[in-house]
Amino acid sequence: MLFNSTVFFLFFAVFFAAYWRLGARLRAQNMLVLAGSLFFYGWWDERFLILIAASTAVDFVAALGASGERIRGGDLRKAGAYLGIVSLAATLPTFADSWRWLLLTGAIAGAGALVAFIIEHARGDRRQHWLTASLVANLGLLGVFKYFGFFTESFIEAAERAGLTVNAPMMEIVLPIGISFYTFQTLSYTIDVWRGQMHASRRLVDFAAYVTFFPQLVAGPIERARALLPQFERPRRWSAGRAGEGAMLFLWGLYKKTVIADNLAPIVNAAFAAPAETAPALMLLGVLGFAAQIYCDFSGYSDMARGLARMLGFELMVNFDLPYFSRTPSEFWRRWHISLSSWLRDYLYVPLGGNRGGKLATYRNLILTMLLGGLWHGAAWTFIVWGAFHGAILAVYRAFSIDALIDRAKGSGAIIVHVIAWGLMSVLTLIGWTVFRAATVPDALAALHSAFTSEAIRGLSALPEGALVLSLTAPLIVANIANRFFAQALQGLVAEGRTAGALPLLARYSAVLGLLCCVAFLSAEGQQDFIYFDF
Amino acid sequence: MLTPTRRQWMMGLGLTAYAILFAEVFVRAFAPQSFVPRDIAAAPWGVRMNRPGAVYEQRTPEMKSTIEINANGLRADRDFAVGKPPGVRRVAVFGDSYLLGYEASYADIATTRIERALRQAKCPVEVLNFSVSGFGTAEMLKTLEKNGLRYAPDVVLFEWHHTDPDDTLRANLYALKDGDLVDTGQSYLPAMGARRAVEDNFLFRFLAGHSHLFTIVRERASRFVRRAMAGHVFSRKTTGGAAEERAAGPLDLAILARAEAAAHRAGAAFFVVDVPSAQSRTRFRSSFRLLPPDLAARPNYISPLAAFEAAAGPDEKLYWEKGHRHLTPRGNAVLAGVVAERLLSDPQSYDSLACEGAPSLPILASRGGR
Repeated sequence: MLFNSTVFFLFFAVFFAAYWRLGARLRAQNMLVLAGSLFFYGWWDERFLILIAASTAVDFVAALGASGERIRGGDLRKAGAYLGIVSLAATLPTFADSWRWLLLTGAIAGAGALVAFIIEHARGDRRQHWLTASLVANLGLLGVFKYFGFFTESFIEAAERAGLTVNAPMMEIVLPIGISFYTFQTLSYTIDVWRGQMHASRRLVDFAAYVTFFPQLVAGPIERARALLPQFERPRRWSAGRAGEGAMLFLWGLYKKTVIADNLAPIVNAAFAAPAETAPALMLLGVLGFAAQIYCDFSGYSDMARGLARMLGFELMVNFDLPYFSRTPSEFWRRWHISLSSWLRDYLYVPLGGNRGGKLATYRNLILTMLLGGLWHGAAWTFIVWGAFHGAILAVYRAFSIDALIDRAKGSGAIIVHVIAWGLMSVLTLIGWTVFRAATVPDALAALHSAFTSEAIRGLSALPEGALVLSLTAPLIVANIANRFFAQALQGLVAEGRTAGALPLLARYSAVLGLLCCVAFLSAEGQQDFIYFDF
Repeated sequence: MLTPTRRQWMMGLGLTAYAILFAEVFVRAFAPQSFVPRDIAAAPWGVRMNRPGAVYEQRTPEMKSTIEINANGLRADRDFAVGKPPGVRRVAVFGDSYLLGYEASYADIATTRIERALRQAKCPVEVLNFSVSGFGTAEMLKTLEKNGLRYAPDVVLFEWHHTDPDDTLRANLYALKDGDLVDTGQSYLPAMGARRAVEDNFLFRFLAGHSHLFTIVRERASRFVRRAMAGHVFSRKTTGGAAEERAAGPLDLAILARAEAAAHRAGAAFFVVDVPSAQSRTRFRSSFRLLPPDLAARPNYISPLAAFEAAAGPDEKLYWEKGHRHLTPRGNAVLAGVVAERLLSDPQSYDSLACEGAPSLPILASRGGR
């Protein structure tokens, strides 16, 4: 169910009315969020509900264990019952075809109970054992459903190149949508509990609602349990103002997705279809278009998710903070997909040793973290190369202390330094996106070879598609520049009471109408998937 | 003095009127619309037909044309007697808005050009264009059986377009029972009553003729209804739009087979013509891709794809790029050229049309081989 589809609008209209009809009955609201989220997720493929229910059940129990508490029979029964009910609901509509999935549920429940028994009766650090169990279960799930095919294929390919014939098992495994997002979310919960940074929840409905919360379930932001779970435990009261703000945020995200990203998609797709045969200027336009497309697609989704959550009384984290104004790689990763980069920092880079083990160890940790970050995006060599590239430039910038040099620039020369740094980082970002978007590494090399040439730059202005790209992105560029450079002045107006809220009614009304008209009349034809749904 | 309630009402009405005006200006500025109306009526045989005697104008930023429907409900500059005049041969064409020739003048449309080309080859022919905007193969078959065959055609030409499988499903005029094609007994006159009622309304006609906002909303709404009726709106597939198209199923193939059999029983040759879809000015996709390859490869299945690709160029438009993106005069000419050439090179149609011009090499070759 896409946010930009009719069926979602119908779903949300019914859900929204029912949700607020419940008033301040917190438990009922959470139950409704859980039911609505499972329906939302099951709309794609109801069988995958079993996976998300399994992940929820495992981490519900594992986190209790990782907190040091004894696992009670009631906790296991609750987790088992949840898994059973969701599995039954998932298989009933197509029982004749999908009854085998119930066997999987049985296997998961049986294995879970056995593991619980072993850990609870094992010697040593029980908390550590439970954390390990959670890591194995979640990363195992991700490994099987996301990476099994890739690694098997790569292994066979490598073996064949070495002249060996390998008969490895090949399985056609469908990638469950959002698996990377919810797996990281549940993992971080158990790790935080293990670290003693939060208490484990004994309310399964609240925890399951947190894991499956539909506004951010399939493409983030990857919300930490510390931030989102407590919101399920606090009463949420209706506020027309908040609902209006949420609706505006949703509308802004919808505009970025349907008007900009989706209209850019054909130009980008055409350029990357066969990079070796694409004219240099068109290739460069495709690269520039993709930079805008992926930003609008993903940040548009994040805005929509935040808007929907706000309409329901929740607050999700900001996932993008004007990333294309970054002057260095580290600044870029503080502004781009913030929920993932901070996740990688807290649960990968820091545990690896961060910058505490000397220069070489720091560079290694940076590269390894970004490499795995690249792999998180998908099982393909292009993502691995993209991650390694970002790791390498992070390491180079760190080796030469470029961030510090830029920060130290003072006086009139500072502007030039900042502009040069921004220009260089923009080029590096575009090189990264070229690799990211290409279908294969040879395609990426061909695209780079074609797009980053003087011939491509010279031919850019003559392309008729260039005007379309510019007209689509111009409003966003203006909005971002205003936000980047005039935000303080705008905040000053807010402080003085001369805010957008104090603008004449007609001006505010016209702004909303303008955005609505853009979405209604300038959206690309047909619904396009969100790019990050593939991750 | 206004009461607060009345003031609120006035405010609400004012803001609504402002919103409509704002949207009209917005659409005119950023998404100017084309006016491609159609005028259809309910035929006695339960499907749509062109309203006999209708005359209406179509205009887009790229073109302007007048559509004139004759007393038979066909696009023609003259009326036809049901009984075929002596010595005259008839080609009956069944299609949708592409073969009806929307967004093109009568002299430029494919059927007029086919008639001209055949007459130049000394075939005493008149082309009867039974096409109706929005038709799929099911409605074409119904029109052929209930109306077209009365005119005793010598050649029957069916259009095949990639939207046909959806159209056929939506029309629900036929069904398969134990592998046989049966009439469902239903009629298919989508919203005809309501349409007639609103089209007779002055305000509707004014808005339909002048308001860009009204036109875009109506277009979107009708597209939505079509998608909903074809089951795409609530599809659980994540992607939508043009990617979601249905390949020809057993029902579509049975309809084509029955049309062919009906034509043969009436002594007419039967052809199916492909209307490709444009991907860009120079790239096209054959609608025959939705048919089984062995069927599309049959000699009576005519695809102009190669001719389109040969005629295309960066500065040559075969399809309009604004409006409803029908065929340009050049596109119509290329299509007509391919169809006429096939009719003149196919022994059966050549004989059916009693052409007196020199037979083409394929015909001579086929006769030499007999």
